[in-house]
Amino acid sequence: MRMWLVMVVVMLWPAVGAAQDVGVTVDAMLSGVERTSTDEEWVALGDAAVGPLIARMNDASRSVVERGRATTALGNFRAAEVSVALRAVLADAASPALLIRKAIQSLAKVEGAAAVDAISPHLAHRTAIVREDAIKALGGLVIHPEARAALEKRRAAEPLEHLKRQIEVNLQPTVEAPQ
Amino acid sequence: MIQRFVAAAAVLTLFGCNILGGDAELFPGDSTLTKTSSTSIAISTADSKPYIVDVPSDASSFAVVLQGLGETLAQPAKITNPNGEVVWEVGVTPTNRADAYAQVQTTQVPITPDVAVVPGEWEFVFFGNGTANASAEAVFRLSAAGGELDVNLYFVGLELLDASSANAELQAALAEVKEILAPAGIRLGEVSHHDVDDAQFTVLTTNAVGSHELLQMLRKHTTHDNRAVNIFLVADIEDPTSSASLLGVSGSIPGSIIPNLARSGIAINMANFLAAQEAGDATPAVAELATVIAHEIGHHLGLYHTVEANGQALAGNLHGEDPIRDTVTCQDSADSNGDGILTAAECGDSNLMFWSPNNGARTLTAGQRHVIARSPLVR
Repeated sequence: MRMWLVMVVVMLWPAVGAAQDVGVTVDAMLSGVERTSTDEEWVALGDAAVGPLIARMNDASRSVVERGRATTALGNFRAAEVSVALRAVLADAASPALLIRKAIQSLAKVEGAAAVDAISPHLAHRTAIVREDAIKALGGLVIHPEARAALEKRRAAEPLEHLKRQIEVNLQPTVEAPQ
Repeated sequence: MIQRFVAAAAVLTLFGCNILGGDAELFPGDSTLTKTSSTSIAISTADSKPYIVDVPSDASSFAVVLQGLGETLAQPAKITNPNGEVVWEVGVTPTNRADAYAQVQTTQVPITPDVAVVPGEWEFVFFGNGTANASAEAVFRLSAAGGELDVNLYFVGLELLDASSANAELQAALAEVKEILAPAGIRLGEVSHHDVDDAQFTVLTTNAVGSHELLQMLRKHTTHDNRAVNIFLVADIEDPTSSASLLGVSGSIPGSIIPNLARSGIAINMANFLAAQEAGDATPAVAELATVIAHEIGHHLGLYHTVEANGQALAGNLHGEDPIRDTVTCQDSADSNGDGILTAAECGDSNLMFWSPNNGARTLTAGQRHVIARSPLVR
């Protein structure tokens, strides 16, 4: 019995150590006044970074900018739990504006057209800069009918002139829809 | 006095170089900051003709500001003091620093206590990564070290904070900035408040060395024409490549001394502060905001990072850190977990100008205090 326990501990030890190391590196990569980590640096860290990044995105004791950086970094990963976590941020009415903006950007990157349903409600967000990011994200997906429909629906309701103009620009035909 | 300098300039221009001393007040009525008239400098990949600055005996610091560079990155190739000593040669002198910038480039002396402001004729030779017809002006600070630093605060389309509602927590952050700068003999002077109604810049796009919208914003909205540091408070600062947020950014290191230029100010990301305020209490965000504002002011007054995240790897091993001797030197070998990032714990650095604010670092060394106390922006 004791022998088995020792073997289990020995077998698990490197994995535990590696997870701790990734967390330390993730924290270092999320810090910096002017420095931000590149997409390539996040990808190089591999899927082991996903868990620590989700934990930091959801950690309300951390600063919003740090959580936002974690949210942006998640846009580089395609693991299933990334979509789930980003959608949870977008569905939570209490999420800070910056976090929602970054989740919109990352979910559009991760899911493409499939993200339209989660992003569209934020076209009516109370904060103008959140609406702007939703417009930009859906504008990037405008060749898909769902994204176009969401922007068209919002066009008349948007109260700010500069955002209304941005919707118009994004609705202008630029590329043919896929056949 | 003025006639003497103009005459000297006229004579020496005939011999293929420019010699200039202070001949006008940069800000009318302020005799402690003078500037030369503007001189054309042809920037190319080769060395420019010498630009000679006649530094008065009562100058505590001086700066040379190149304007009209367009997209050409320019910097001094060589700086020689009146004793004939080369105090800067690009790629050679690790004990001084003068980085390349596009549009506007400012070289400040001193940027380290190792370089004394010797009165007499200093020779500057510039080069760039392309061509530009630049104009150069020298600015002289004619007062003792230390003094007051005025601040212009610009509120850029923040939904919860504007010039009229600048709240107690923001004042508390400025009070902490005052405490951080006090050991250098710098007192925060007049703080003015201005609203900027321009949605383009509420979320600012710029990289760490000041680019894109930061330069547009500083040029377009630095409307308060005084001897002060311009601080733009924005809702977010996004890196154009990764979309990740920066906490703050300075127009350049050092920032432009001459107002209303593309690099005459700093931007601060207010997202943490605004999120705390929206949640009902901005107090928890005050300390970090103060640290970031002080850090960016440090850059603007001439301080570089004590250590960069990737240490000596930056800029070919020469400038992975600042040129000030009494700040921490952190070699790549300090990276104990081998992840390529030097943390505050690994370097044992608690300095305000460390690359990361996560250690709550706020100290300034004697060398750093020497530099910022002599910034031409401090009156």
